[in-house]
Amino acid sequence: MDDIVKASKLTKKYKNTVALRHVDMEIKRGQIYGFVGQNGAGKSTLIRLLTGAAQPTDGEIELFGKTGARDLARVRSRTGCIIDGPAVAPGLTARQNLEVLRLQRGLPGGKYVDEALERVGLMDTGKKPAKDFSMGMRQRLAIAIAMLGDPEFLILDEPTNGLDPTWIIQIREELTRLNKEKDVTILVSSHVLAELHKLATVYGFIHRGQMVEQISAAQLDERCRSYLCVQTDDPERTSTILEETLKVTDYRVGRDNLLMLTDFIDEPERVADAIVREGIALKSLYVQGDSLEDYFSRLIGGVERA
Amino acid sequence: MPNQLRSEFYRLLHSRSLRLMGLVFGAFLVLFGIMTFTESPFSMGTVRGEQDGIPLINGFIGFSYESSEPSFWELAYTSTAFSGLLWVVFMVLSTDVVAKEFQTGTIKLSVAHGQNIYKIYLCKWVATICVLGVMHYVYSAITSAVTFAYNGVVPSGEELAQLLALVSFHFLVMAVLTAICFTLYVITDSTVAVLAVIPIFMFSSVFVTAIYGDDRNLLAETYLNINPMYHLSQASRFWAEGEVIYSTTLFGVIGIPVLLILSYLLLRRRELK
Repeated sequence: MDDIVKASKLTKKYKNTVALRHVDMEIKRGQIYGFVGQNGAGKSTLIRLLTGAAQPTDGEIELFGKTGARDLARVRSRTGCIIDGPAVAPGLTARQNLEVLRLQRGLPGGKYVDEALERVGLMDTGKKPAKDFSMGMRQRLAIAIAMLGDPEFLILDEPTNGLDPTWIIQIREELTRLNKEKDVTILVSSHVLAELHKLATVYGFIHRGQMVEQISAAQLDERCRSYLCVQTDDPERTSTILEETLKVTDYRVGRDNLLMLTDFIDEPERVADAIVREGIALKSLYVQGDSLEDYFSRLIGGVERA
Repeated sequence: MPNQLRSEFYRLLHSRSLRLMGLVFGAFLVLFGIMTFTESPFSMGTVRGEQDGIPLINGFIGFSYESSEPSFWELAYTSTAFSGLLWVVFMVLSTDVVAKEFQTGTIKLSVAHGQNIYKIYLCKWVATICVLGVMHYVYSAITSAVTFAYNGVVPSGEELAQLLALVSFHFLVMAVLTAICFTLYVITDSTVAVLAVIPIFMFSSVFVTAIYGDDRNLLAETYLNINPMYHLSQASRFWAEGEVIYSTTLFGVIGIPVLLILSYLLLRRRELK
């Protein structure tokens, strides 16, 4: 897989603050990169550096294998983005907003505009100027602008902000479709971690201007795995029961002889029944695991303690 | 660049501010018609001598003919009398055009797509100049036609060429004014600042002229030479005072490139909020 983004040692300083400190980031073609961080962590700053809206104080950005201001500007024409919320011309209609950018980018014909409007359900907004749109409509227009001209790389800063649940699902499905069918690479930052969890294939966690961790969705799932925890007065016999009666193969023994099962998470009563029937005293039975939010909290908690 | 220019024309032609400024031009035309048919005098200047029996004016004076058969230049002064006010339209529209995209953040979308911010800026200026140019020349054509028709005068080809030169001198100065508005916005990042500073700058030329008269020191002379209102005010004397052509042309030929280069330097490393 070739690199779409390769940022090394990116630093961004403002007068009295360091917004980013030696950040490395790598996004490969076809990935959906979930960018996670608290408010002010540096997500938007990094996105602004990638899009050329700001210049790094130090470090290097490589996009589509190109570096240097001139080459970066050239390859940026293959991207679409939302930066710092929906940027739309308030006095223009949805169609006019898209038409301005279609003309600027030299896209032929009106089909791009129609497609973009259809994707986000804004075909029937007619002469209504964007300033009279609801927040959700403005956000959908910003998404349409980002997708205009079928870019290879989408950079979306909080794309689901202000969207109702129906549109959150539709946009997620559209992004997934673009990724699967057209191999579009996506960088998406969001506060709604549960939403990100349904989309991302790779995660980058940023905290206080530093990249804390970059891991794949599979690795994260492994770390956030849920277990059914069983504690009895006879762990050895319990293991035998689990293996022979319930045919459990994937379990491990934790501290204090705690048995941790990845099966039967939704049917703990079957496990309890099998153990009690053999006359073993069941001390505790509970489901334990991290959500993405829990994982993130633990991660940044660890960083702060360090 | 042609794509960016087409985009800027599209944006400008669909903007509310252009419709509003079109209405202002229309209001000026109505006012002009009323003043013509009521033969009401209009004065935003002074007479400073005469040549061949025709008054030489500093500023804008119209509808004030002393004879029943006014000379060509008196009619020309009259038909361009409101140029002393039209600069407000140039200032408001150009400030709106340059500021809008920075304020709404849409310029970031263009930059993020690899467009050069300075080319966008330049295209905005060119589109603004072209649209305002059309409005200015159409307005001037109407006011001239009304003035000459009302007075029953048919200007010769040479006179029409001179009138076109006068209107063009006004437009050249206004083009510099738009470049000043654009540059000032890039410096201050504030439309309020531009709309406050420019009128003060424009009208200050009147005070400097009043204070120093023709006995100006180098500082006052320089200040007036970089002031659009000063050049607008003296443009109507170009037929009698050849140096006016020189100073107005110099103002445009040097002023526009200098302001555009200054803007380039300011925008080159600009970070978009």
